[in-house]
Amino acid sequence: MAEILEPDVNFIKQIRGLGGASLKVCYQCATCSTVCPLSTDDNPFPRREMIWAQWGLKDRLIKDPNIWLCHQCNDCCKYCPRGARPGDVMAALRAYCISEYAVPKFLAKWLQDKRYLPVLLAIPVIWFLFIIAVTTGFHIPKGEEIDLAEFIPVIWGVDLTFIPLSVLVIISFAMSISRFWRDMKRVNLTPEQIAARGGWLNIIITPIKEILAHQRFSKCGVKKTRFYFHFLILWGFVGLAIVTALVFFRMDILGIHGHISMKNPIKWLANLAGLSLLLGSLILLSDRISDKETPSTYFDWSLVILVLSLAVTGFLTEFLRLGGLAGLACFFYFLHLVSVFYLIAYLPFSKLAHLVYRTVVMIYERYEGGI
Amino acid sequence: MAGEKAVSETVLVVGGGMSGVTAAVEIAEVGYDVIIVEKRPYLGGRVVQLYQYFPKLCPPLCGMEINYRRIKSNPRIKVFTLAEVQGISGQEGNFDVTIKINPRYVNTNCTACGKCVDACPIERPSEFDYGLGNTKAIYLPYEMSFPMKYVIDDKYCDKCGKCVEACPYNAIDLNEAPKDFTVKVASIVWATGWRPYDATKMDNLGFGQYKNVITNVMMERLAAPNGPTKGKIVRPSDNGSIESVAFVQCAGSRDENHLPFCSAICCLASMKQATYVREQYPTAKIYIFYIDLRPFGRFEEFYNRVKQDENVFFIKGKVAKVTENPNTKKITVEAEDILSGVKTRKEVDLVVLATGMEPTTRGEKLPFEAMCDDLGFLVSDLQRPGIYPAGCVRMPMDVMTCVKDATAAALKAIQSIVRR
Repeated sequence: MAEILEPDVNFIKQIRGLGGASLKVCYQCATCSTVCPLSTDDNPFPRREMIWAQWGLKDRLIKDPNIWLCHQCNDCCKYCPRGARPGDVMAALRAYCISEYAVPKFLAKWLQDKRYLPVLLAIPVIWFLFIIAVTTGFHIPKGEEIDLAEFIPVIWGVDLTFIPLSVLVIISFAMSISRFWRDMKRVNLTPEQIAARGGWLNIIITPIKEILAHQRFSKCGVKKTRFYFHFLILWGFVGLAIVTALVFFRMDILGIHGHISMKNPIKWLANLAGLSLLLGSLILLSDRISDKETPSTYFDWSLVILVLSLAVTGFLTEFLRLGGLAGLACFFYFLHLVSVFYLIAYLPFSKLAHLVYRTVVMIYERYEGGI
Repeated sequence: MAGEKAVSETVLVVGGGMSGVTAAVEIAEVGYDVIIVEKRPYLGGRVVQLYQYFPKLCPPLCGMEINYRRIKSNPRIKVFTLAEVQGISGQEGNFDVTIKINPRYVNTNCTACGKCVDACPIERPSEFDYGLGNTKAIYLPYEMSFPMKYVIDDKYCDKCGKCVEACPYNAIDLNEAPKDFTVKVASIVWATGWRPYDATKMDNLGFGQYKNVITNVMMERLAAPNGPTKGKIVRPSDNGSIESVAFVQCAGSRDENHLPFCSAICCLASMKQATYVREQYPTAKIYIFYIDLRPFGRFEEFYNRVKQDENVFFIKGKVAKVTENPNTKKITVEAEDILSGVKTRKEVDLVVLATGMEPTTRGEKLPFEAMCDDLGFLVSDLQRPGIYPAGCVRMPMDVMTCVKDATAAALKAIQSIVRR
């Protein structure tokens, strides 16, 4: 039966603008699919995605799991005979997919357009200034042991900011991902088939283990560095999430207040995770700067800068506080909170949304194929 | 320049392959003097290394024999083998050309009896067989060499003198030195041709790494009766027979990392070589992996004929990964079969890389201010007339087209003498 294709010309333009400028020169030799260390035998990529992108088949691409299975090793870019840079086109498709499924959509557009950066930054800045003004009135803590809670109360600046924000983010993701999952799903498994795949628990846990171990990144040929910085940054975030949970438990459940001693294992973990984040983001930064061939868009840069600023403002706050420089410590604590706000509030719309999308796709891959 | 009389009535032809030889005989038969300068020790170029050539799939020596006859019977043609152009000065109608002749160490007394070869203790890899076989350090390039004289490869010869003792005709002089001389010519046909693209540059295709991965020019030598296997197509690893062959089209061609252009002839060459294999092995399977099939012009018929063979499979998708089984020495090629959208792997006895034609001018310094296009092919410099490219140094083409191209260049070269 003949199929009527509906090319979306505007989509092609947008993909080219998102870092896939070279997509039109592809002549479909499929070198990319063969040299790709991650592409599978039955469903190889990115050759097919390249022609779909050239044809403007937006509807097929946004629900195509392959764009997320790509880890941008860029072996395809090295061997491409045309300089079509399939890996970069895949990255552009991922950025487009995030904005397509985002709820609300306008926030995703703002995250991909640098003209909206002042607005996106103003929201947390005004929010925290407001909190400080009404609670402590810009009180700079004094004394031997500087307590930053005297500058911004934890209950307001942390708990009542980030808990509601996280709930909103979870709602946003739930709406996006349920639509994404429905679109992506090509098969409907019977309960027996799910049981044959080891049940839902196995379908979900196995890919997460694979992600934490970075098994796919370790297969990359050209971009070996991706393994290192991604490993450090992901584990840095995991460590910091654990620390946050522990601190929340200590303060809000056990009711212990005040700063944690440097001798406390929680502090060791916090510093280790922070260091991992800092090191990872520095490697990422130098990789983005030194790799002249891969185009780095505003969307890419904003995540690099965000991760770096999280680590830098975090450590500066800690050192200045320990060094007794209260005013500066407060200033960087403020910046740190703004960075954390930016990270969490815009998670479903920023490049970091790949955390959820790629995990979901890897779960779907196991659901569909049972591999 | 118009109206000025040409100082010389001689044309220099650089390159003694199909294009150069054609231009030379055409010019000489019109009535002008011709000097052929050929770098190798024989005429015939890459064509005489083929087993069969298009359009009629006949052995190339038939066609070359006629041309050699035309050269021999025409006193206007002077042939210098082992010769290179060192410098060109002057302009159309009056070029001064310095030519260097490297020593052959064998003079005209040679009757090609072959006693020297029996005496010679040293072997060298045969560049005529693309390294698939060896010759002695003194050797006859091929059985119909022109000139019919032996030659010593001084990169390997240690001047032991055993051949001098064995030669009954006093034809060998191990002390021969290179010679320089200058000629005056009116115009120049530059027909230095092409070289096969260096397949070791494709680090994912296994050439130079696995013995059973060869190039298309090597396949011609394997199939040729005067080749290293006397025309038997075998696996280079063990000289074993062949059950399957994969042809890798565009190996380094249409590729901005290698040769960014289509060499025009490789699709047909692989189809032709598929027929070589099929004639020798009635059950052998042939897999031709391609991006686009380009049997130009009326060669579509040839493609249709090959396609009818049920043992020849055309697979759309470029081979980008090649691995060897270290025990069996069989080679696995991997590609995405675009028409079905899944990856495909074929384990075969022999892999033939269809490498392209790199013009000899690419990345080389020429003895004159040459104008090359961005791909490295020589183009006619309209500001500096008198030097005319012909054949594959101008663009990739098959033998038949080279003959026409060389005839066209011959006319231009004659005009440089007459049109004043």
